[in-house]
Amino acid sequence: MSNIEQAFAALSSDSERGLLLSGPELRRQAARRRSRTVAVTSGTAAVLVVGAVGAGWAIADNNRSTGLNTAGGSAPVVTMSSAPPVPSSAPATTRPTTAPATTAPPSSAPVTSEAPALPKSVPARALINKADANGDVTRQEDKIGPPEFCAKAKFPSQDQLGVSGSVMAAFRAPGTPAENIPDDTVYNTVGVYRGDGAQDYLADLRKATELCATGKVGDLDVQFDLLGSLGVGDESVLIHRAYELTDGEGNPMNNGSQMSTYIGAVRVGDAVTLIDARGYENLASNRAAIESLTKAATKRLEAWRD
Amino acid sequence: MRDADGFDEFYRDTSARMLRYGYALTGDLGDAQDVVQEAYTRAWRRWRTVSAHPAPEAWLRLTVGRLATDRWRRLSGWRAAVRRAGPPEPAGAPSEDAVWLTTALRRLPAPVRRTVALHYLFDLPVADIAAETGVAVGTVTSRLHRGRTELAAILAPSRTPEVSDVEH
Repeated sequence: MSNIEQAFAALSSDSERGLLLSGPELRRQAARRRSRTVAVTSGTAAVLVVGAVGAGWAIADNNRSTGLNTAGGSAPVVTMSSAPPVPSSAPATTRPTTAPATTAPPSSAPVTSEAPALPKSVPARALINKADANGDVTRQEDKIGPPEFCAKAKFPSQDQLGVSGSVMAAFRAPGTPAENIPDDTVYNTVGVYRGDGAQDYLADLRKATELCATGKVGDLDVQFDLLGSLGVGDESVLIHRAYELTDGEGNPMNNGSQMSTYIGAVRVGDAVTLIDARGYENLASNRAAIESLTKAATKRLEAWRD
Repeated sequence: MRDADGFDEFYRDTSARMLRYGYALTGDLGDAQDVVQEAYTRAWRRWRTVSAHPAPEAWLRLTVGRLATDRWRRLSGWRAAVRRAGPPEPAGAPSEDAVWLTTALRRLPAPVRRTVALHYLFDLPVADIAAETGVAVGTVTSRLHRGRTELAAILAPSRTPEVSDVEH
């Protein structure tokens, strides 16, 4: 046996000092974490506290990790912390991040006569809700700008942005039980524009997609392509975004397989609702689900602006 | 319903190996515990998918590898909360030989460390490591060669972790 093999044998032996939950206890704690998770995004870890040291833990030995180490046969005591869940972390490094919001112009900018007056804010009813997402929806305090494209993409339409509001949703496909992990992380942003800003924003998105058909977003090679209209609102566009699946070290995963996500944008008069589906961890977005969600977002916007 | 018995059996059969892997990647048994428990928690949430995967253990290794590499960003909040409540720390002090190896492994770049660990802990063929890590067979061979050479250089002279001025 070589020195290296001996060293790994020593490490394997030493790892038996480790403590792991038994399988049933791990499942119970997973369920508790799930039921108390408020906002889930990629990279977010819910808070978990083991109330009694040793309860439900087992030495990590193959021969000893098979059962609960509950003295006297009583169930292990596991409690949740009263601390709130960990705040959502930044999107995973394997995904494009959202560009900073563009500063809105002064409120003295002209308003077209046929458009409704600019609202002071975007209410929650204009955005997708828990019923639409089949998952928790969290209002975003920070402004969410256009989705990030390659450096060639420009969004002069944002100079016409009057007011905007966003939510982040832990989206689950209809019928998916609440205890399941989300199928997607979706941002919904509604913006109300001055002048022709809303039309210009849809035009900017189409142009950005063409300019960035292949290109870099951060360190990632990302491809964008137009999938056409969704047939709702005054005009709409569905964009496919694909990039290589990488692990935490930036290495390709699954033999270089691609991860697909989608952006849906719909204009209703002077307002645009945009769905930016970023996938959940390494799970890709589902096109049909995102089309359906974008249509639900359109109904919310129409109900508000009409 | 997810197959709890199937998950428990899988967990029972593989978790000790996974802990060794986490230990090799992180260099700290407490960190390895956290990473491995989190990986299995994720596996249970997606058990229908993971159990249908052609190689569920490879799925776990990928997740452990990702969490181990990025563990402070991904797990810091959870770890802090757990530690406040007094989590079980690994029992006893680490063995001298384990410290010796983890110290040496930490000096390797993460992709090399991962490749070496997959080879020595799971006895995976080069082609399987290549498939699992998504790189070419030649890259795996190169990483293994580099890992062996550097580990041997660090470990051979005196079997102490203080040897740091070895010429490569």
